Amino acid sequence: MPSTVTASLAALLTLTGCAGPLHSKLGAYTARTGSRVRFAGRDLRVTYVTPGTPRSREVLILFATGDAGYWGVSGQIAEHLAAQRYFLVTYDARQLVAREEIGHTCQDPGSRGLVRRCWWMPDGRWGSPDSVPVIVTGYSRGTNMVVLAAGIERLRHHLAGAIAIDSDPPRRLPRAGRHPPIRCRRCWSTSKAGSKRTRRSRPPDRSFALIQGTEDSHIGAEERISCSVQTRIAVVSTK
Amino acid sequence: MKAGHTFGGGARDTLMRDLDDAMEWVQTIATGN
Repeated sequence: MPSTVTASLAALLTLTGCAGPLHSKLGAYTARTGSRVRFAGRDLRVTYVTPGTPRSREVLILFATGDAGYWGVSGQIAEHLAAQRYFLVTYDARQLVAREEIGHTCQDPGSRGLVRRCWWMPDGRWGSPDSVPVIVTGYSRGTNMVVLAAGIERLRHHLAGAIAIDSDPPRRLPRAGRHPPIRCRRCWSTSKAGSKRTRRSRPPDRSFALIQGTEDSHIGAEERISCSVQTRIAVVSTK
Repeated sequence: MKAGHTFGGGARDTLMRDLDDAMEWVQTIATGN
């Protein structure tokens, strides 16, 4: 094999390695990615992150990536959650939700089973489904899992809450099909300068936060780095 | 933010801060404290 091809392959493998699941960080957390398992008709690889010094043993975080897997924002979010010393379960959302357009009556792509799977590590049980609630969170395509999981009645007592991170307008988020509608309870916007406006109707019985970029549905890269990016958080309830 | 888009500086800090706030809020609601 020519040396140039070998070098190119090495560079490619290095790049794809950077975009893969989290890797352990000495002294901070241990990340383990299990072998592929057949789940909801798809092959799925799940990464389990165990913090060296847990922030809390009373909650698990389930994070689903966006369209680019762990490349870019999703990787940064996963690393941030791990650095915050959460018990974290994460997977590449492309493994479960195909690229096709999600309609208003999309079906559950296995969210219920996926959440229930959180408590199982590749080599043993991690926690008890009845005692360790899950916060489901996802970015971009991963918000499909968040919204669907939040809308499943049978999962309610397993969930501590849900956080969807997206750059699209709320109408672009999928509805939970046959499941109860998710209605907004509280919205506020935050600017880079830290000013915050809050509008609240009544306390929610279950928390669902949406972190969303304002204005353009696809925020440009460089221009948004240099300017004041606003995010909007909508807190909605599943009741 | 486009697929695979990387961002840094203030944008990243803002998102991560909002994420931390949301995590805290969700857990506060869940525990009833």
